[in-house]
Amino acid sequence: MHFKTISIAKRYINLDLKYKFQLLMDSLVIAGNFIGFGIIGLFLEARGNVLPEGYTFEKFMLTGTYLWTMLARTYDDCIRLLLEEASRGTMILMLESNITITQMIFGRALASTLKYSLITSIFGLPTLKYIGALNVNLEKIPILMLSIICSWIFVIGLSIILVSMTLIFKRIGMITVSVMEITMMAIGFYFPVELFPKQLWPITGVIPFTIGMQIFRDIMILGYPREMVNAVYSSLSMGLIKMIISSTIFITLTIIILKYTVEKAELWGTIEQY
Amino acid sequence: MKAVEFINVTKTFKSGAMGKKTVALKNVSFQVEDGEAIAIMGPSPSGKTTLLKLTAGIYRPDEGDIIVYGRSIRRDLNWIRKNTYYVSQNMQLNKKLTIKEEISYFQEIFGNKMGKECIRMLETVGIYREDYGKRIEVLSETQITILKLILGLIKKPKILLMDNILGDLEYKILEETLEILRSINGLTMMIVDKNVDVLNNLCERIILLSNGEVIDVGNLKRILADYPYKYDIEVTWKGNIDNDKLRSMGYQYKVMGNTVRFNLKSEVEIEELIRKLLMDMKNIVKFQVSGLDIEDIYYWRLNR
Repeated sequence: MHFKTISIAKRYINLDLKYKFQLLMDSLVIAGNFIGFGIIGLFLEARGNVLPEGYTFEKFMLTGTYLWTMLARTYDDCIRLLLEEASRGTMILMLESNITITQMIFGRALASTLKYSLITSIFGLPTLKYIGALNVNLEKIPILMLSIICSWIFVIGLSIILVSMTLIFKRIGMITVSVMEITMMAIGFYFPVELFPKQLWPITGVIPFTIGMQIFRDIMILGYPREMVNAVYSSLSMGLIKMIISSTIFITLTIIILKYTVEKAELWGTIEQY
Repeated sequence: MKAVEFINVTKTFKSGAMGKKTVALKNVSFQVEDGEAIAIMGPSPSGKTTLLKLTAGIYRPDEGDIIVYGRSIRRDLNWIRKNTYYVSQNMQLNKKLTIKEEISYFQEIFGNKMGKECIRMLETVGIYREDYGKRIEVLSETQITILKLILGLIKKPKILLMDNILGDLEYKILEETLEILRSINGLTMMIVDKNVDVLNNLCERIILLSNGEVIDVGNLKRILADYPYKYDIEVTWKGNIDNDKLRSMGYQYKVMGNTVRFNLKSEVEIEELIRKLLMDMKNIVKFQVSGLDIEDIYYWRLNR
């Protein structure tokens, strides 16, 4: 990671720490997520017996909430980045400190990931421990980390696309929320992907976050990733390869799109206006 | 060596993907020598800020080329961005951060330490090392202006682009700041400012812009020497202004709402004006001697 990205991440952490009320509110919202989805998990069940033994819907929901909250809040921060810098009047300052928009997004993403990982872990880890969904086997930690990293890359890619749209169209309205809702469905956050119609399996199964979420849940609940999960991967090694390749292709494409839109905004003279 | 060369540069703005186009600069060409300080003058909007932002690489030209120390903006944009610093009154700092945090960030990004001139500049506005822990939100506007300037100097730019940054500084601080800027070896400066003193102190030459076109590149000292009016007096009246009475006074003037700015040639004219105004004393709210107005000089030059 480029040193400038680290410097900018440090700057955002410094800034975030100054807004204590916002930190408190974020923490309460995250705690609320665990309570809300915990209740849903407790009273509902997935149809068709697609979940293996010991894999209650409550565990399914709350492990998903843990990973999702960490990454979705980071997504929110990244897509708000340009609007925030512009409203603070610091956009020119950032550009004049030789920071590219890509570096700004990655810096913001690192800072937000660190912040939300900590907050989510404060509420999430005791909750998962309490419901018996903290069965991580130390040997599986590298795969667990890989699944988190690939999911993170996918989410950053999504935010880069939305930042690119902001650069071109300035205000993109509710599309940011819609993208998140569609993603939540597609990756199987609300219910197992196996419950989707079979025709959709090839699409959902290629999203790195679907694979990452599946592996993450398996390791947290069962202690190991299953060798085969219908609708996600036919073998674990194939799943890992798919996850790495698709996340790499996705982030590369989104960075190319961002570079193009930044050039357009510089040409139109609208890079600092939102 | 030429520091900056604009070669037939045209710049249009487009408000978003579906927005309409506005021309900001048309076929602009000029040159700035290495180490020179040049003023850019023109009424608003005439393309002054656009010209500075193009030089800094914040915007890209539609047509033509900008050469900075022999490098084209079309090929070496990153190099140009690294070696220029654009600072304006509109640029904000993160008010929640401390002076130290902001300085450390810039030092880290640029890989440079803050120079003696920066420390001296901060001290002129009463910011000493023990104050570096203060949040930017508690600083005065003058202190923030100087901080914005020194953050740029940490970058060690070859070209400093100042957009109305110095004009509002108090006289003593302004003098010291200008002296420090002049002492930086080889620093090329392009300056837009409403304060004639700033331009007169730093710049030899001036670029005159009108509707996005360069209409003249002249010698600032000569223009100021030729400008017949040496004093500006602003008088604010209660109620409506009697235009006939103003005309009958026989001075060059400009009406701005309830305020009239008189351009006067000598101290004798000031005395005369005061005598005439004394007769209308009860209707006068405010009377002040102001600095020469850059727009008055511009229009006078244009009419010549």
